[in-house]
Amino acid sequence: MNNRLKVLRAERDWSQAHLAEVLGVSRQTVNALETGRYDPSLPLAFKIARIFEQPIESIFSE
Amino acid sequence: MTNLSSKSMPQWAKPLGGIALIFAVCGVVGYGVGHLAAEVFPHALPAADLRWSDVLACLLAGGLIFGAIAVLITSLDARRLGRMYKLEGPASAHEIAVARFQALVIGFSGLILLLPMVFSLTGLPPLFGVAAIALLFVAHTVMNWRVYRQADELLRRSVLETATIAFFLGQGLLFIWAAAERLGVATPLTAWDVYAVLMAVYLAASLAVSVRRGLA
Repeated sequence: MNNRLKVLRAERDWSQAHLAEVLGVSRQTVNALETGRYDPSLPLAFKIARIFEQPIESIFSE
Repeated sequence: MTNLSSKSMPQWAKPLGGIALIFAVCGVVGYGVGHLAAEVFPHALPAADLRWSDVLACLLAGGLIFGAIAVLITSLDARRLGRMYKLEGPASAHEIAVARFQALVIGFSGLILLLPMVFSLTGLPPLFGVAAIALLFVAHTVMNWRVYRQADELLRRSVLETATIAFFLGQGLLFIWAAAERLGVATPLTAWDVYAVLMAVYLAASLAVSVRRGLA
């Protein structure tokens, strides 16, 4: 699965640490998500969508 | 020179290079410790009836302890720890504390794994040895539980994947050997033999999952 997490984060000028804090995960998890090494659980995907104020399908794609 | 070598080495090969280095150092240290033990306890080693599983357990324990020490040393430098975990910038105080605690748990695992051989060599009363190991195992379980409680979903998923791979590989190997043993073409194994192999399988699975998820 692909995602636009890194782009969305860069657009808001957020650090990995800030995103990790608001998501309640480690920076390693944010890094793993951005590099496509890990696909988030459904609750985490919803949280990401809420934080970036975008629908899930516009952030994650197959 | 540093830039050249880092450019020429593919990304996937870097963890493997580190692992190879760890095995090489563990091999040298293991040989040295074994040689020293044979000098200091010339009669204890033959009397202890060391088997291949003892050697395997010693290597695994050495690897765990060495890995823990490496993380503890790395954690003295926040930037280096950040690079090790592929983070943007240096590791925070919380990340350093978590890394150190995880390293302690890993090192403690190695120590407990060594104890059956150490107790056997020192001639400690077996019941006392088993009681001591059981107590330490309970302490280790509490520490592991704390690591799991602190972990986020990536680490928990990695633990689950490691357990799944280790279960199917271990179960498969055990079945093949048990079948061969039942048919009389393989020698019987002791519980310690089986445990040493299962631990090796578990650590190999853990390493593979960590590399795949970008944790190592």
